[in-house]
Amino acid sequence: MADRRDPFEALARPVAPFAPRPAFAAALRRRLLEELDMTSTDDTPTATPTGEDGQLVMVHLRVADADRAGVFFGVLFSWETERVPFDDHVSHYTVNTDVTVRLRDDPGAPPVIPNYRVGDVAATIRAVEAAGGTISASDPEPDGGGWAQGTDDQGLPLLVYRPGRYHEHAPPSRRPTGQVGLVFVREDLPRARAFYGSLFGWALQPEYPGSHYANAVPRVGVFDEAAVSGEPVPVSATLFLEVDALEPALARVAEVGGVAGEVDHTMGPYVSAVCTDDQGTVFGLLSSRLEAE
Amino acid sequence: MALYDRALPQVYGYLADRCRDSATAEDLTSETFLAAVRAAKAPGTEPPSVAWLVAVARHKLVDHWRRQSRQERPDATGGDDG
Repeated sequence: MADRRDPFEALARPVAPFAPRPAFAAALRRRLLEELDMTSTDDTPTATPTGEDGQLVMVHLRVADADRAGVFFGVLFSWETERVPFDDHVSHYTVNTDVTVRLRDDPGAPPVIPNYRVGDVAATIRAVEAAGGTISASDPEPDGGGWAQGTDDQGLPLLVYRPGRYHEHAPPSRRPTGQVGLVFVREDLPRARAFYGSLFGWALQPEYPGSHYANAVPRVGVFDEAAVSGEPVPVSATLFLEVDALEPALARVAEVGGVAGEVDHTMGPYVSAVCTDDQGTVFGLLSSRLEAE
Repeated sequence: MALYDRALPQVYGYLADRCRDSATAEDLTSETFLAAVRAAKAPGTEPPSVAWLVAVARHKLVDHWRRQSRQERPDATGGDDG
């Protein structure tokens, strides 16, 4: 914590984003939701949600064997999943995480596919193609629902759908210890700003002047690594799972048969590490703190 | 709550960088967001933005410093001078 020797100077310093303790963030969220519920009994209009299109609602993570991955991540993060067999592969969908993770053992799928909410799938397909992206498969419905999968104009996979049609599943029985924290996208930032700006209205403003990282929407960020390194960097997306504290989670990864990565301090307010599960699936861990309190 | 997710690291980061302890930063963060929710109830109020929330946080911080200053100097009318 900084000392406040010159309060006026302190007030004027730029904002340095820093994530609070997850427990505090969750408690404050609950309190605010309670406060908002109180307002619903009167006629006062509450703030209209904006930017619903383009919010992260699911992440596909390709694995070698979805059943085995379901066990691994179930033990590691207390994930509860629903098993869904398809014609040529199996998927496990988490049912107790804020953002759903689909563990799919489809070898033809990209390693990570961020899924975004849209209100009108058919219109989104047109917007993707108009912005230079591609649609490889889709099932748009006349009322605006359905889904579509493709890539952006740099080749990064994406999937859009209108939530609400998914069938019901058994209620979860426990809270997970790992949540979707960040889909970390590596691609050209100005091009991403143009593409996703036209598609979802993302601003993708750098965190501070000169930064090559920009938050898109909650749990999605774009890093222009090529601009930093001066060398070509393949377009990619990595799924980072947020945990309460990094070091205990890394120990747990190794304990259940995965490979724990080195601690990285370069990801803004977070400490992070890139790990693999017991089948070689790459995933990241991030936390606002290194050690448990 | 999308704004909350986006603004929380900004508001908390602003306060944590300027407070002496994380408990104070958390208290002021709570005060900031609760003030925003209550302000949003007023008819005709514009939806809050991250920049507006940081400005509210700045006011909360100044208020906190004033309270703290009064506690550290009970006789704030000049008693120390003489």
